[in-house]
Amino acid sequence: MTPTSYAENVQFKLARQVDVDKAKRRKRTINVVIMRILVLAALLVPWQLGVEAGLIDPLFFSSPSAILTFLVTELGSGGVWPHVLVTVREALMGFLIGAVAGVAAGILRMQFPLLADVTNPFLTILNVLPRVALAPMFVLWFGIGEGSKIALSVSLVFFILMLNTEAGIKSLDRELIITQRALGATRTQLFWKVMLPGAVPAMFSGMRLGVVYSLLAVVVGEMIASQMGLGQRIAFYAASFQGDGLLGTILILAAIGLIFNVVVVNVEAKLMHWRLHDED
Amino acid sequence: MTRPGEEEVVANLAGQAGGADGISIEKVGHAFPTKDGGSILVLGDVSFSVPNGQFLAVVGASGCGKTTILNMAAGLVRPVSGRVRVGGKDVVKPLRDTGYMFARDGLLPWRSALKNVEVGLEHRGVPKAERRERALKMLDIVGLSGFGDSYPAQLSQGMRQRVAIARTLAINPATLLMDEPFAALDAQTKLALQAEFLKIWEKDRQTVMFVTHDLAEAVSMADRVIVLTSRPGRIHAEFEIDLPRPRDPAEIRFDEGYLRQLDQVWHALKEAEERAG
Ligand SMILES: Nc1ncnc2c1ncn2[C@@H]1O[C@H](COP(=O)(O)OP(=O)(O)OP(=O)(O)O)[C@@H](O)[C@H]1O
Ligand SMILES: [Mg+2]
Repeated sequence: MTPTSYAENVQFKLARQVDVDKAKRRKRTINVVIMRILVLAALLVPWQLGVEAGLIDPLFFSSPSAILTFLVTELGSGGVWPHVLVTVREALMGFLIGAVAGVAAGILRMQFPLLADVTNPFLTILNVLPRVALAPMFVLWFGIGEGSKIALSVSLVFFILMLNTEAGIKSLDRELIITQRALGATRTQLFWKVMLPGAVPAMFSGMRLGVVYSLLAVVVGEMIASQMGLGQRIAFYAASFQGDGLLGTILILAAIGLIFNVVVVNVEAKLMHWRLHDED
Repeated sequence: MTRPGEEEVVANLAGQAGGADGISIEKVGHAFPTKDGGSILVLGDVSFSVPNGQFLAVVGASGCGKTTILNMAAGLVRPVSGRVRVGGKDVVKPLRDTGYMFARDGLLPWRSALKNVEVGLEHRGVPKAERRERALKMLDIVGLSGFGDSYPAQLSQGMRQRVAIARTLAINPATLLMDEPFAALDAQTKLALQAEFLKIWEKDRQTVMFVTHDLAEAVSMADRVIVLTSRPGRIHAEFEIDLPRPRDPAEIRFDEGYLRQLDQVWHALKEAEERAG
């Protein structure tokens, strides 16, 4: 090493350090995956063996192999897909309508304090009400089809998004608003350039909750009264003691919920790149 | 008044601010309501004016109403009594050609540095291409060319404050209100930014009202220093700083004339605090 290569030397060392760190991380990831598989096996293997040994009653608990068989045949033959479609469509519609209305309501209430004051008691009562209690009424109003499920979903998602939007606008750094006011922003400009973008992170945490609750609402609605949908299937399998169908359908619902969540998280990451910069 | 480009600036100011009036604070008294239903007198009959193109520094104890005066000149607070005029007109809302800078940068975290510099021009409806060009130029002036695409979270505090300076100057303000703009910076960065700001100001000669707790900053940068008493704030003393320009806040630290004036201001401030306390 010549004396001029001191910086090069440091960079070389850094590069090696980065490589070592990378290898360490990769090893850790592999270990985590192995351990997860072990945990899963620790749950499934005794279950399967217990059923085979006659220690666990498959009538109530089914068995991993029966659930797997159910999933393979149902997903393969296509029998479950129309139900998946209905449930997903209801959940998405409910989420979309509820989210748009909730964000709009939150924004309007923050822009017009009089509106907020007047609507406060009514919205508070609706919000503390266990929304599931409204399900039978929604069936009366919107019929036994998808409408009543969407309505139930909207009644949950709306409040989540409204409250999150309001919290986001309220918690906005005062300094940002004063700075922009001093820079000559009009009320409308303040709203579009400061308050709305400033509330986006809070809206997204609302949406992450919202998709999960939308799915919950439509499944509950389907279980109460419906001819289609995964909730209806669950109610049916439970009533006819088909544990494999029950648990298999629940797994399908979990997968749908997971996909919803991944989509929201990815959109959020795209829109929030300015915030993620300091973390990566 | 022989500096090249001076006439242009004055003409510009006359056009923007409607006359050579600068900032005038006339018999201003102000109080804030307190939680227990009473009120707290913050300013008691303050009058002074900043002629066009002057750099005025205001010093005084914490809580004596300095920020309140700036907020009034910025159109963010209305005085309970008295008048505040900028460019000859009463200030009732933020003026389009007044820039306001704070100790905290107030940058919008979701906007890149460039977009942050552009924001004031956006408020004024300046077309996109023109906005971009001006913002790039301002970033270059504050020494941040090449950082336009960085987000505030990726910049150091000194760099963020530079972006804030660029943002404030981008709207081409005739009047600058500055509330301890360099207070949050380390000593080195502070000196660097003071020098940079002075260089820009000595060229453009905006009317400046500059609030600070740093007496060295006040004396090394300003044409005139006003010392306020403790709350309720009143004018205690006033000094003309007749040091030659261009000045370099780092170099001037050992200048005899500077040290003498610094000493005077320091004594005045001490006196002001003791008298009211
Ligand atoms: N919005 C407000 N409501 C109530 N009291 C206020 C408000 N703004 C300022 N005050 C009070 O007015 C007084 C002066 O405040 P101001 O911010 O003008 O002081 P300052 O001279 O800028 O102080 P500092 O040097 O600490 O920044 C303080 O005692 C403060 O508590
Ligand atoms: Mg202050």
